[in-house]
Amino acid sequence: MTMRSMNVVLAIAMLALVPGAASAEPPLVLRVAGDGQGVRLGFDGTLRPSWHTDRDAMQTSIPRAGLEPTGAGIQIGATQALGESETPSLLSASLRGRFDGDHNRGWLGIGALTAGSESWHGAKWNLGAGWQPRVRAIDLEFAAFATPVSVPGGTYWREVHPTGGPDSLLVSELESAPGHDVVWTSGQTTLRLRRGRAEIAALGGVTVGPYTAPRTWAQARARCQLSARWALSLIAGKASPVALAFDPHSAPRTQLGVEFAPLLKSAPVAGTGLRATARRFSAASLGDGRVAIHVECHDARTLEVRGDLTEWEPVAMQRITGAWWELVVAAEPGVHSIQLRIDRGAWAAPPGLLVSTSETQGPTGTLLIQ
Amino acid sequence: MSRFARGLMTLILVGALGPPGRASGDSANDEARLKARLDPETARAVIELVHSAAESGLPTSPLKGRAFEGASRGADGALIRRAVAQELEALKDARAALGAASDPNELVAGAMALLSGAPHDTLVRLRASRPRQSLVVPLVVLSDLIARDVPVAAASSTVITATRAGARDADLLKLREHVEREVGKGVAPAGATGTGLRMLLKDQGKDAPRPAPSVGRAP
Repeated sequence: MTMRSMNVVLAIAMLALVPGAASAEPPLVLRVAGDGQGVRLGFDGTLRPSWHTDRDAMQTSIPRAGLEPTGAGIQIGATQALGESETPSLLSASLRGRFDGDHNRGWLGIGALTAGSESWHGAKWNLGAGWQPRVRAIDLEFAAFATPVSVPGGTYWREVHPTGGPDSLLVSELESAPGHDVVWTSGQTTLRLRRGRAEIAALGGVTVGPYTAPRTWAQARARCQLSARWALSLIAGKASPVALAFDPHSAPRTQLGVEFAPLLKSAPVAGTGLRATARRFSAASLGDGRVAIHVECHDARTLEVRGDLTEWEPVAMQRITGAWWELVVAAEPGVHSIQLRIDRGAWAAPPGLLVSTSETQGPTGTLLIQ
Repeated sequence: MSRFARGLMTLILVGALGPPGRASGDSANDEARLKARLDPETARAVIELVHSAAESGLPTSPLKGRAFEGASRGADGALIRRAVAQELEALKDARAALGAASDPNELVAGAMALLSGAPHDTLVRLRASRPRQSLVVPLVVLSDLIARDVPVAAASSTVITATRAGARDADLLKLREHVEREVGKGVAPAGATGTGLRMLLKDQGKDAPRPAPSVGRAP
């Protein structure tokens, strides 16, 4: 593959309102990918403000049903064509609200997109929504995007119902139209399986709208985390163009890519470079000799706690609402050691706790109950 | 709520949980659980160490906890026996350093600091700096700094200096949070501890300690 035939996508993801604590996005990622239609450079980044349902977690009467807002994130992205390319340079920004429930997870987003193309005038707003039912072993997501598309002036075939009703005869007629914007809507389903440092995904979708025949696509993706900062990705098939996708990571064509995350200190397990990470830990006395332990952790399937409070037996936490997990244990006053394990990974000190370690003991959180 | 406030709240839980106890649960039940989790030889040795600690007036929970931890990790019986014996020795050492009148929680935190690598003398000096107040938080902060790769000497001198300067537990937790944050940014642990101590002393209205002039330097 020559350099000219390479399509290079350079993506930079910036995170940081909660340094090192975000659950899903790495602090900085560069992506380089090549396909057969020119050269592209770009970046995208994510800001993930750390607001959450703290109120709920600190109360003992925690709501246990329904979707609740658990966070918001801002994503900024850009791609720049190098050499000849059919795809214009793009700059996008989007704001997503995130909701978590016992059995479902979802997001709503609004974004703005502009391009360095003569046919593109100003910024265009788009809307997106996603729904992720919790399914064991796989990630499943249904998403929909509404995106304005500029239609240049000209003559188009248009489908009409001459008698006005939806069941009437459908005919096509030529229509002359000036340059204007219409809205195209895309639906997309993604299946993703993660094992260790590897991830495979399959996605399919359709785009419908005025002045276009329905466009369908399907794509298979494989990604392998090579080290803490490097990952290799292979994408086969076609997907929605970046301008129609709500995700600036969208890869419209078959491509081979490399990702670099310079600010990551430890290797993500898998996924879009991501692993579930506990963001917050809290503990509150229930006044009856028990303590309620709460942990905020997005994207986790299981959370377990062990320590002297559990006689070092792993005890599963229960998801109570959104990204919050709970465990109520008997606890006597004193200094206690505690560890947390996410998705049966390595045991570690819970976030925010003081840490101790010794010759025979790994990093362990220190909890003082007075 | 600030991260500091959350950290403080997380660390210290004030609840109506009753007076501090030295041992948890019923002794017979504890022994039965130890026998159920450990091989006979290890269980017998651990129970003897627990009895020894109880007779000496030392907390027994850390010993049982260490044994359960070893069992949970699938550690070899000899390793478990050694770890429990080390814990007992650390508790004795902590009491020798902190004084016989020390609170059981201070002894547990002191043993934790000693097992983390803190020297005996650091505990003695900490007690001298806080003869009547609890040393639990200074000791767990000391362990935390060592666990975050702050050199033992720097961690010890930092906690001692801060405590002598009259720093409250909340100030020490703030210092520790500063170190965690700075180390997360890539700052060297010793440097982060130094800046944290200077900030703490500044807040206390005291001058930060200055490096001693090198030998032979002109005044």
